[in-house]
Amino acid sequence: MTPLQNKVAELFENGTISLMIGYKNAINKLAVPCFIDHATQVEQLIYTPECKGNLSVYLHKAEIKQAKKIGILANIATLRSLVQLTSENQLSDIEKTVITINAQNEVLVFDNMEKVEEYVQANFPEYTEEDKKLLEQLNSMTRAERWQYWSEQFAACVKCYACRAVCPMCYCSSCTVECNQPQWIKVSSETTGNLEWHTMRAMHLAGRCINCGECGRICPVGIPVHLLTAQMNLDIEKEFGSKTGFSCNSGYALNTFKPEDKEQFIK
Amino acid sequence: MARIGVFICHCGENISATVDVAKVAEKAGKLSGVAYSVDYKYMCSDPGQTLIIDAIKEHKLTGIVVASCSPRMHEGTFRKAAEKAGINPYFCEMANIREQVSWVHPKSDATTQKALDIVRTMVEKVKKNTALTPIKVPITKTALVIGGGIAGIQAALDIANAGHSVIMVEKKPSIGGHMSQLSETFPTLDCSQCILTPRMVEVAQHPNITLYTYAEVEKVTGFVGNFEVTIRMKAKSVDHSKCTGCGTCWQKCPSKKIPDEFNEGMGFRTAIYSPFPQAVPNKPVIDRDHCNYFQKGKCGVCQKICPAGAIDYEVQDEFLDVKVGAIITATGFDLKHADFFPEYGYGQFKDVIDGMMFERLASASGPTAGEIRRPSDGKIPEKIVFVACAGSRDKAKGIEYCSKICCMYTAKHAMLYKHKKHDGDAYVFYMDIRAAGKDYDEFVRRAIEEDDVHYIRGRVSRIYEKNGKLIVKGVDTLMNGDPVEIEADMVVLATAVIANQDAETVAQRMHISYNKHHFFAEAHPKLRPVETNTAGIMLAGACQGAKDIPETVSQASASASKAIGLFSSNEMTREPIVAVVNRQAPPNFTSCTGCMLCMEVCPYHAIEREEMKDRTGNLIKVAVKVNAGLCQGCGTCVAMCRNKSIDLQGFSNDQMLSEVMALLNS
Ligand SMILES: Cc1cc2nc3c(=O)[nH]c(=O)nc-3n(C[C@H](O)[C@H](O)[C@H](O)COP(=O)(O)OP(=O)(O)OC[C@H]3O[C@@H](n4cnc5c(N)ncnc54)[C@H](O)[C@@H]3O)c2cc1C
Ligand code: SF4
Ligand code: SF4
Ligand code: SF4
Ligand code: SF4
Repeated sequence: MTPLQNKVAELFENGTISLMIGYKNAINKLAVPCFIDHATQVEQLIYTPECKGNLSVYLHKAEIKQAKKIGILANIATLRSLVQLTSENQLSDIEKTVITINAQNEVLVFDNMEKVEEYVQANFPEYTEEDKKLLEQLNSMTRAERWQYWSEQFAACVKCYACRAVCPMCYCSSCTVECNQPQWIKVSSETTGNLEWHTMRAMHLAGRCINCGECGRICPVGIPVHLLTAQMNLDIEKEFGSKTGFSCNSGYALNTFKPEDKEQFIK
Repeated sequence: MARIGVFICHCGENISATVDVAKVAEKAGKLSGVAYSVDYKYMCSDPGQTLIIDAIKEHKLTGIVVASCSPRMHEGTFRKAAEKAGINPYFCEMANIREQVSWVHPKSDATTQKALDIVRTMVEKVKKNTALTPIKVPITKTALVIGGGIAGIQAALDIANAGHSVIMVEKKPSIGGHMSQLSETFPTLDCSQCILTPRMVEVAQHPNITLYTYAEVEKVTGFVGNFEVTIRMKAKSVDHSKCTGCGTCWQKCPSKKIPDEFNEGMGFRTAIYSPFPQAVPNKPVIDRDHCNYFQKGKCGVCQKICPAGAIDYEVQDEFLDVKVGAIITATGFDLKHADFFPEYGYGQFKDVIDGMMFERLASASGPTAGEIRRPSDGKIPEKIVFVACAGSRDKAKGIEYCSKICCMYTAKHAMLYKHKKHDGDAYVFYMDIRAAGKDYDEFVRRAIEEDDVHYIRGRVSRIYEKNGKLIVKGVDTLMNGDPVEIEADMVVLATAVIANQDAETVAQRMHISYNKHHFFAEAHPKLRPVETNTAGIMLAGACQGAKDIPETVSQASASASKAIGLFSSNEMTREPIVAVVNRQAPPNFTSCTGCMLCMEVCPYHAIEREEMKDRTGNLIKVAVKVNAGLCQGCGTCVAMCRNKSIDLQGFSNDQMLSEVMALLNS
């Protein structure tokens, strides 16, 4: 058994957790989420570079919440989402034990969010090289070119809402796209409706997205939607000095006011 | 099916001169859902209202649109008419075709078309309207008065005399505020204490007033009619229910060298003290920062000698929770002191004093028993220079406002000095004289003409000491800006009136706004000068801006009348234009996710956390709810909520979108 499996077995045995959310191997050599509720099942658990999925999305599900004592295996992006979700009061009703594996391959167990926050701040991730390159490309375009680029991208969107489903910050039980009184956003997949959906999604995640990149990774038609929120995060950090998924009680840059906030946009 | 009635008003000729009202009525009659449409000369007149009422009954209308003036003018009129006809008043909407159309456009087809467009948007809105019922909120008929200066005293007495309970909270050991320190008062020169102390005693004796001195407001929650306030009762170390105020303790206290605040530091007091002889209550408190027992752990003299056994060193601050319906903030002001002025020696010259120190020197109860003697050597000054606008109206000093009272009290000071020392010389440096009150200019002229005070128009650039004299260098701008130099024995600076040091904290605790100088902000500078933006919290006196006593007292009575007005009924009726957080069937209960983002942005702190529990008390969901008593219907929260869980009654998303779509589809 790996140290991770040993640790999780121990947590089951001493009653710390009653449900573990982790990753297991899938046939196609990819990692998929797995949910285990007994020490005897820990041998499925893996932690490999393929373990990219952000498991914190499952914490919003009622059937998961029922377990009360939840263990969650978290990569750095997942840790950041836990921090961000805590700052948005979303995790107060569950008892969670957070497990991560650091660069030295040690298994770390955090029993409270302060420790998670501390770890995240010490190991705060950078954007991936690939994303940096893409953002650079987008930023070097003119407005018109950029508009053209996104228009083309969004035209392909089939409104499957997979990007929403994988996003840990998209936890609303009823999303605005489902509101029909009034119907804010057209249901079918067509040009204006797609644009509305993506504008709304980006705005709702601005300053909240924790840059896990899951939305871009999951999109069946390959739209790099995560770049929109990634760029907005950069802008917000520049304007207001706040990082997402960095502090459990930092407040939300777009709904708080600090006297030292820049106000150049008011002209 | 909606059956909407449209009523187009001519407003005499105000509308009909530019808008083809008959055409609007005709076209409106053809809009989908409109069952009746008519134009009439004056809809707000009695016959106009009757026309509406009859039409609602006859045509079984479900909603009406009155196209006339701004809803600010007649919304109430038409809603009442709708109600009389038997429909919910919130099924009445107004289309503003006067201020937004006929008054701002020339007569043309386009103008008529715009009137019709506005009518159409309101028809679409009213179709989406729902019946609303006004909100009733009970009222606690007790007022809290914060601050026991003349403002607080006046307000408290007015409210108490109207038969309501008042709780007064004063930070210091005695009420009275700055007025108790004044010698004589402009413009009549009557003795300040003689007119003030009867009021102070009345407060203490009034059966409707509960007075808490040496106390501060710690926390304010709730809303108009229903505030919950926590008062911190600072430990007095003296049990006032036992103390008889005999004064044995403060005569014997060995810690005697504490600068006396009441005398502006010119004199000393003991650690156990009552600030002045006419203090209310005239019972001491122990200033723990200077008491030997608290600082050095030994002494205990007062406890040993107190015949009533009232001294208690063990007591701690206590907290008292009270419920009040209205709050009057009367926390007064502070004064800049001489140490604010580098050009006048940063307060290092003992005989450069501020106005309040002069008041104490001129006061019979002051350190010199009313003789004007200079602080350095106790000599009676032969020559005094008064400097008006010391700090005020000086952008460079960060105080660009006028302190308002200084012109008057400087004239008073010069006059008092001349009355006491007939052969003395009094000079006043001024920028211009602002004496715009009843009998005020006459007062200043009396100082100049009868009491021979020398007024010099110009500023003082420097003051320095030379051979025991204060050399005052300035200019006389009425003499071509010639330099003036006066050898004075004493200089009195009319320093700027500023907000209290804790004003910002107080304002934040009360959730009221303040300006950049920390003076509290009124709701409207002209039309609502005594109310704050938070309903139920009023302002009185110098906490709102520099004021003299007459103005302070007027404002105090005005704010009292607001409280009394509020207390004149048992319940308040509020417009139901408030935000609501949706509730849904289980297992969702609400679409609110409890992210609390709306809570942060609500300027009225109207959004509260709500824990939803099942019958056995298990927590099912954390969400928010809106306190309808506090919500002012601003809609900020609606914009914040990502998932549209919060909506504004009467201006719902659905209604607003219908309006917008009606315009876009025209
Ligand atoms: C030198 C000088 C001379 C003047 N001469 C005249 C004159 O001749 N004629 C005239 O009409 N006016 C005169 N005035 C103006 C007059 O003093 C004011 O108009 C008046 O005192 C204002 O009353 P107030 O109750 O608003 O404030 P204050 O007198 O300042 O009273 C405020 C009270 O609130 C209390 N307080 C403060 N903060 C708190 C808190 N957080 N909690 C509880 N209690 C608190 C204070 O302790 C104080 O008792 C003069 C002013 C000065 C400075
Ligand atoms: S996952 Fe891709 S296709 Fe699906 S809604 Fe999101 S952007 Fe559109
Ligand atoms: S990268 Fe995409 S999935 Fe991840 S938090 Fe941001 S918006 Fe959500
Ligand atoms: S913003 Fe919306 S979801 Fe969040 S707490 Fe408020 S009402 Fe609920
Ligand atoms: S409408 Fe305005 S006052 Fe009312 S709850 Fe929302 S933000 Fe607060």
